[in-house]
Amino acid sequence: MNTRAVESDLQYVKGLVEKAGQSGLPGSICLLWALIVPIGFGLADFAPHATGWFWMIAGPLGGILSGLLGRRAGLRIGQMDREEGVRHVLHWGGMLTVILLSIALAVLGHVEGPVLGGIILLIVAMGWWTAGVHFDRSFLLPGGIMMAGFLAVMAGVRYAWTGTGVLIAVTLLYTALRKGAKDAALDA
Amino acid sequence: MPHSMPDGDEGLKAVLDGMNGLLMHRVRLGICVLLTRHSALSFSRLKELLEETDGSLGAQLRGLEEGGFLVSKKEFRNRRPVTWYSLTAEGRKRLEKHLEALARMIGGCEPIDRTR
Repeated sequence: MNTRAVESDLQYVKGLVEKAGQSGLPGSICLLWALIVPIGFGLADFAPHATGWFWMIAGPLGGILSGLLGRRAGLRIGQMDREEGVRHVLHWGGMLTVILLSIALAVLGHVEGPVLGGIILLIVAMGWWTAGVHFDRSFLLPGGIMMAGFLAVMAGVRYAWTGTGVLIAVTLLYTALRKGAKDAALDA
Repeated sequence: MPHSMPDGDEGLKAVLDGMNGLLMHRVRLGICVLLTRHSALSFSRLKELLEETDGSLGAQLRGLEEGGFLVSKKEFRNRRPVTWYSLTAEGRKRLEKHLEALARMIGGCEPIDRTR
């Protein structure tokens, strides 16, 4: 055995690791959030008093459903990633905890409802963006749209929340379709 | 030309001590490294990733299982049998030792002259 053979073997192993890491975010999770996000964001424009209640239920429930869908997708392709699952729980659970803590700003009277909405949007944007950096690049664009949406909301653009939600849903639907096509190609 | 082993008796001994015969085969090495990144992989997923035939992959997996590197678990999913493989703690330790030895082997050699 010489160094050239070792290098060749390590290149082969590196290729395998990269191939196994390409499975990424399941399309079903994108579809789920493409449904939840525009409803929740739209409520901020059309029924602001219901927005908090909606997200208090839809946020954690969507997170649990995403976990189950991720596990199901893993079982389907034959790849279990317990550590990756733990990282997701820590990431999204941390984001949810920061959101809950930020509500204290409104409870203690430091900020008013609409400003709190903007703060939460920024926290979520940061959460999605960092998920795009560490988990799957598909999270980057929705995270960026949320940042732009924050500026539109703060500038008082009419229906800024709804527009942001619809744009995010479109990017998620596109991602779901792309991943669906890729999965179908892998199945074939 | 690359050296085949690092210079010096001690360096050579350290490399040889760390090497594991079972992991000299690139498919077996690939299986073990993949299982350090994923807690469990099914037979069909390994087959898809490694692009090996059923017979060849089965033989490599059996070798690793008999060598104490892997454990397998059979279950039924949608009434179809699925075999899951995961790395044992001992297998992980031996793999780390093997990879360290490979790194030492590459690091202990003079740079390869790629212009030749």
